[in-house]
Amino acid sequence: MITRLFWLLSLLCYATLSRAAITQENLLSPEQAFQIHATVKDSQHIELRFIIVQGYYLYRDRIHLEANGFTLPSPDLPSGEIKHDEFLGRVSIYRNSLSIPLSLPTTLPKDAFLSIRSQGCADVGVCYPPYVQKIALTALLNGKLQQKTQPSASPFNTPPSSKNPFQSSRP
Amino acid sequence: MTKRFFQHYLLPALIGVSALYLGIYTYQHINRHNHSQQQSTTISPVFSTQLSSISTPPAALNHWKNKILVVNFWATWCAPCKKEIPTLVKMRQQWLNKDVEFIGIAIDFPDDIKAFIKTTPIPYPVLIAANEGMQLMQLLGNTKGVLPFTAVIDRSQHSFETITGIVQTDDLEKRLKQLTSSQSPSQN
Repeated sequence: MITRLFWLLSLLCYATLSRAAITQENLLSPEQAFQIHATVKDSQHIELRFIIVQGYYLYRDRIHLEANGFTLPSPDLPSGEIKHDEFLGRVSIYRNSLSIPLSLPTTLPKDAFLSIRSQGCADVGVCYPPYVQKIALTALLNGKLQQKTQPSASPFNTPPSSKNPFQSSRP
Repeated sequence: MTKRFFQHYLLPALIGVSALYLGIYTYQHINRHNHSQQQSTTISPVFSTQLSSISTPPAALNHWKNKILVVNFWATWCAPCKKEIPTLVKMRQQWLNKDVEFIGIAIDFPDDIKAFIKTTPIPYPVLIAANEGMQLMQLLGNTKGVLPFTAVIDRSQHSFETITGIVQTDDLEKRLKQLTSSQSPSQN
């Protein structure tokens, strides 16, 4: 019993104190923490899959899909895990992964694209701003695009003069 | 010393103490890196960029030159940001007569900021940087663009340290004590 307590105490001491501070080097960029992969199921169905790194999470009510050039039915988002936040109250979040099946119209304009806006935080106590990634759908369906989406309106890897994510639609 | 005594008591005790020491060392080491001290003229846009405000005319950080500044980047969509604001409000009151000013820079929309301030009054200046905020933070070293993010800037606005995540009271106090004792307004 005492032996086990000593082991537990030593683990707790190290874990608690070493995680007390947050550094830029220890944090992932949003592209790394919240990866989106798009998979073509058939000519009218695709699946978006978020891969969320352990220690990070996405807010369910801050995931928004915007169709450009076509009409998109409201996606069916799973319920998620409930998190009790001191300021936000009871919120639904996603960890590990999230799959969103989407139905597309039979014909799409050549320049049709999908904007995916999401926002998440890290368990260590920081949050990322709303982040928009875009998928060029025609290219995806034609198999010309890599399955992993390319971020477009990212404030982190685009020149300062680029479009600001806050110019996209608000939740 | 029996083998049993070594395995069941002494070894765990040694490991426990070592882990405690290593944890303290790691905390201090990481905390020092967390406060990245830089001297740079390339960050001049941070001080010269005019930002709008909720209730006062637009201003740039160089408006408060010759004061030690605690510049806190935050947003209403950031729960940890809202958590630390009462701490910052309290500390501001304690340090105001020592030539320290706290500035909030909200990476947010004006309507959301106004709604928040109605329920959580912020007595220090709150500037709005919905468009410029990310770039300003990157210039200060916030390469991941996370919030909350705080920069503690000396009177000359040439040197600063940063804190990623929620500000800890004793941590910020230590830094402010150092700045207020090493610099007096007459030196600038």
